[in-house]
Amino acid sequence: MNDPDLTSEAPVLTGLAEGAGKAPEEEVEGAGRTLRADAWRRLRKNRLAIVGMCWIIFVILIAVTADLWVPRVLGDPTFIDTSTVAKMKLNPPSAAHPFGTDTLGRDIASRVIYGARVSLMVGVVAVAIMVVVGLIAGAVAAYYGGWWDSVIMRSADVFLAFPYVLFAIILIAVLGKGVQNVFIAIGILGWPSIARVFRSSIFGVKENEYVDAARSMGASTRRILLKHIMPNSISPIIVVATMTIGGAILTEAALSFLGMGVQPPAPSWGGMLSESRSYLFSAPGLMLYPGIAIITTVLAFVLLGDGLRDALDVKMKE
Amino acid sequence: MLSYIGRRILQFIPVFIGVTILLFLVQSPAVVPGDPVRMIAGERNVSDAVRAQVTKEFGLDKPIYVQYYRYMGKLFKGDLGVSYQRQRPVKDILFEKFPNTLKLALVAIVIEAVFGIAAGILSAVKRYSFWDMLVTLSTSILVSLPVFWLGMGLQIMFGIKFKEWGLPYLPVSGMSGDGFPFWLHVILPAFTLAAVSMAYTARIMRSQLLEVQGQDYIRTASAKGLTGRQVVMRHSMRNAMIPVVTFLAIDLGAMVGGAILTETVFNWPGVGFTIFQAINNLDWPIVTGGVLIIVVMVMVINLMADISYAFMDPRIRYGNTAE
Repeated sequence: MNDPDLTSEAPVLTGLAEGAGKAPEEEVEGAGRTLRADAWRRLRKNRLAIVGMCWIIFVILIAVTADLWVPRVLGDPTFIDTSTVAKMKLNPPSAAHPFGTDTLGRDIASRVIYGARVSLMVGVVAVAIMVVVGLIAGAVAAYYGGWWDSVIMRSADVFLAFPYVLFAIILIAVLGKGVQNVFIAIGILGWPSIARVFRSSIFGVKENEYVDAARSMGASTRRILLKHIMPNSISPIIVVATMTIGGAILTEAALSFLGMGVQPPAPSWGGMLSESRSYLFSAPGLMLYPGIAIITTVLAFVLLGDGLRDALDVKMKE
Repeated sequence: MLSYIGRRILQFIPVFIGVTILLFLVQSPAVVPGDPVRMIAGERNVSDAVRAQVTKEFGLDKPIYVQYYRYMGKLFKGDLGVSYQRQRPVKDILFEKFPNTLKLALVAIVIEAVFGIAAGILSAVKRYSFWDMLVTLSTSILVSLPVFWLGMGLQIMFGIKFKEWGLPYLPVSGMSGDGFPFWLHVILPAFTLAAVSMAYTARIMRSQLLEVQGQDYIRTASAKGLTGRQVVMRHSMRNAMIPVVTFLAIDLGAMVGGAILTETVFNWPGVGFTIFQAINNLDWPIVTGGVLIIVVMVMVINLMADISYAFMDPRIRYGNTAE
């Protein structure tokens, strides 16, 4: 996941070129043309990115509203009715249970939907931790330079030297199993990539005249960083963060699969896959839906990230 | 050139020290929850005499930097500690498992190189064709795929369904037995391990070829009358291959280290599976020892890849690498 530069083909190049051609007249006409509006206009032309975005919004809506309707319509995701379990287990898909039931008679659709909550939470919380730590580290390294820069970038190297999943497993082994620690582990592990991107994009912005101008007018370092450098170097961070959400969801799934993440009976996609492993021969269908949920959601974030990269015109060559 | 290599090796040292500090802390009783003495002694009730002895023997009463110093001393003698559970030196256990991991990784890297490079060339040469779209789409899906899900899917398809349908099927577990030779056992895990990187290889190959395609010397080659195939094979490929080879080299390191999921799904008796079992048994020396070996190996492979890169591409060794 740390190779966004590999996807440097540009399916929306045509959109970009058109936009560039039209720009002058629209500018004459018009009010309210901002960089952000420009980016949005370019993003809208990228069908794959829009499909990805719609899918993400759909998943978020379902996950957020789950408590209102899922238990009533599909059934409780964790409750096991021992009196009916023999009859209810491993039912094929039906009107009442569109994805069928699992080995303990629970509705699979309901569990997939509640699993989405975990995955989205990991995506948001873990990536938020990662971005905050990464931004601070990157800003300090780039702005103060020298000794700070060396120490921060060498520790980034240390973190990047570890195989990702292995490091996450060790951290969780130390911190203890459970979903909060998955947030922390993924958050801690991801900061170097954000820090590196932000640092190099600050280097690009720092030399601009408006930064000199601000400094000569007596602006404080903090103000220069927050008001001038940050807004102008944030685009790559948005792109990397979006792509990283997909990676974070995959990592959570892997950790839960290995039994280190979300603990049963709480539903999570990786955990469901782990349960399905024991029934690979008798009920191979069990692995289908959680797997599809993971792939479509991760793919949606990857496509949206690709689209944002092109729309924001971020150069990802390191 | 020498100064470049020297600089890279100098950069290697602080990272190595950082890695050992992290791993030392992780296995250090000061960080790991629980009573260290009881963990080492392995008994519920530890008598005071045993406690004193263990504390002294493992230096638990010393300040933490002294403990780290002792840890490093042992490390340089090749002593990775003794497994709590198996009561054998960690080094021996890992050295037994390592060849299995390496075999799997080597087969996987060959699959990755062959299919990845072929797909990349195909989609670059026939740009915007049906094949290009197919490759782009399947690489996007491959990078979004959980490795273990792919592994399970392959197990169901080629191990279970093929058997049901009376077709020739493949073994789905372990690396020997069931009347199958090794090379049949390795197919499914190797494909699983190679899948994601295969997608990356194809993408790098494609974008590199396209980038090289726009260079002046390619136009010159066409202008002097070479056929399309000759241009691609003699001129584009040579230059486009450099980053691909580097990626493959780095990826071999990552495969040796990152095979924990694949090895677990296929019960492959390698280092990753051993580490996974050790984590579940709270057998820390195996975990930290195994990770240390893997990390150092990944770092050495990266270092060699960087240096070979400098040999292949003069711009790197003369350029300013401070940034």
